[in-house]
Amino acid sequence: MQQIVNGLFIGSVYGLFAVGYTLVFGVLKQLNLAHAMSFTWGAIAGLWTFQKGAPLPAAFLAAVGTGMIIGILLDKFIFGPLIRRGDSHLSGLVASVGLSLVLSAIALAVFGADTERFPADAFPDKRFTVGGVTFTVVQLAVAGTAIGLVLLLTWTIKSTKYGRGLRAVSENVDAARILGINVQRITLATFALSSALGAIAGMLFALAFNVVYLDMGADVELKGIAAMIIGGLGSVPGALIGGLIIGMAEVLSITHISSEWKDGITFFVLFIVLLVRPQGILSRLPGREL
Amino acid sequence: MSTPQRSAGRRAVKLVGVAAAAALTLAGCGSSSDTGASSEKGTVSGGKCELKDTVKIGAVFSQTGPLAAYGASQAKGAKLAIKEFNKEGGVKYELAIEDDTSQAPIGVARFKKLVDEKVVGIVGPTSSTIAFAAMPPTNAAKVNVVAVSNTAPGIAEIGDYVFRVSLPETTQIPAAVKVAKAKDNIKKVGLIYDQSDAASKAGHDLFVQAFKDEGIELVADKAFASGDVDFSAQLTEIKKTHPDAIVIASLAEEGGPVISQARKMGIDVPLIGNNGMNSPQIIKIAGSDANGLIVGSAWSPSLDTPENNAFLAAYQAEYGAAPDQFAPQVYTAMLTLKSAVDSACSTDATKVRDELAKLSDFKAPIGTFSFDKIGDIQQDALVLQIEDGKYVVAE
Repeated sequence: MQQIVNGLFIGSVYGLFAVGYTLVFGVLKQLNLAHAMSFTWGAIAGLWTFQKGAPLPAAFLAAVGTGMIIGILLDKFIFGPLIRRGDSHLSGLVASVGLSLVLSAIALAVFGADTERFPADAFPDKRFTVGGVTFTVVQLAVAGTAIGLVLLLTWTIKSTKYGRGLRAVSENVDAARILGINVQRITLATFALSSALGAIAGMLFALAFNVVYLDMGADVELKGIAAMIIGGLGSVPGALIGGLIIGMAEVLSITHISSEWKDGITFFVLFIVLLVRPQGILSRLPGREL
Repeated sequence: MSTPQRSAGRRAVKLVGVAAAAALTLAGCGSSSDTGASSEKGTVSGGKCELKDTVKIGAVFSQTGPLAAYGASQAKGAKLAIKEFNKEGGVKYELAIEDDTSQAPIGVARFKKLVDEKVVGIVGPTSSTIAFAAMPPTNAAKVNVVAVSNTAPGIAEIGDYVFRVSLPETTQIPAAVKVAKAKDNIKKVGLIYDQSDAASKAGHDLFVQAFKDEGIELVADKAFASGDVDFSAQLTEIKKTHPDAIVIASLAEEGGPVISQARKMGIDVPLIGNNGMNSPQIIKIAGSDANGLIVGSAWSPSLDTPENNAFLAAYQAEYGAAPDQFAPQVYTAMLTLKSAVDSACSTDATKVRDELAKLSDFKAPIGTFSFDKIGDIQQDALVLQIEDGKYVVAE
């Protein structure tokens, strides 16, 4: 039972991270490979703000702000110009890898290759036990924030003006434009939102395991993409469910097989899901080729 | 998956070529009677050796990357040693220091660079994993290596030119287990270790053997990999077995978080660690959670000898802080090289090697020790315990 909680905990962070992928994919049918950099930069910005003596909410705001800047950069300089040129799906993908390398090099220059941490004993060390399962305050806060944000986002897409616009653009860009929807603004907002979510996921990961390092984004990148595919491309709740499944698979493979097999088992789960349900768990769309 | 390993993998493609070339060149050197270092015979006047040129000592440490916590301290020890040597007069020394970025292929290339620069000996590297890659070609090139923090078995066995001043875990771990057992009446233990790090894996095997010798039951044995950040699955499994102590064989970057996460989960039993857990970095990461951790050690600031007190004073004056065990180990390694160069009164690597091999009852900051016939250190282990955020001698 404790292991299931452990899996759900890490899985909720993967899920939130995967939501960022799925948003961009849902709207643009594009895979944004710079998303992992929002994760890393979110954590770095949060850590720096916290180290300057700011309270935790300010650190979160710094992470969100950094994520949004990366999102706006992505839209203005990478995906936007390429789409206006009648982009094939591939050039956006490759260009986002380019931006990711640039952001990674900047991080190396200003942050360095060393692992940094929040000061020891920085957070309340409270824990409580329910039915033999132990939770810590940080764990509950992290999982609660991740799941809460995904639910909020699902509601936003369903019930707000932005959400309706987003769904229209996702359905058919030209039709949306004819209907008077500002496609460019929707796209920009989606990139900013997606990257901000990635940055929050990075910040939560940093808090959960008290670790910030250069390649932290690269370490969760494939897991995020796998979570998106398992949940169903373009489905926000699906990405969360995919993340939770991957978190569980990781924990169970450590306990029942060996920690060496952790990543292998994760992708074996992806393989099985693709065999049984190629469109992913929650997607109504037929399987799409990436 | 581990970050350093992944980036090492990328760079390895490029560096495999370099490393292979280095190995071939060095193997070639080894078959001739040449030595890697340029040799110069000095003159002895008034009992003191005098050499015309400055003697260059090489050092390779992991000053960036996951091992930076150890490497930075080692670099300080090396720089302090050179400064103190040159104060004494006589032979002039200089230091050529390199960063292996915590990666084995880079370490191989840095050793090769120092061999080409004709240093009289190389101090380092920081990790056993890098030592196993970089030392064989250096030994083949007949350049002396003094290992300072490689505690895995089989280091001094690499060759005639390889020496080691770090007390191997074969001595440290049984000593730590014995003290912990007596102190806390330990009957069964849970073990967690880094299976991707050579020294931690070796530490794990030595712990298993020590438990067998002491009649302690091993109730859980769980592994992780370097670069992992979440240990909750392993610790949950260990917690279920209700051990009397948690035993950790890991480097500080993972070992520190293992301690914090264990305490957060409510595992409040005593802790025992290997050499990697003997680092101020553990206290920095885990804070008060680390109190009570028992480790075997090669050195302690409470070691009350003239050599150690002089070292402590010099270190405090230079850096305004107290050293960990890695700085005095490096200082000691530098001393052995200096002593060998001075008594050979030559920079000929083979002559220096012969003097190194003769060292016995050598007095240094880490205590009095001798080299055995394979060049490994002969000394008794200290057992330390963290109390109020400090490593002190365990009673």
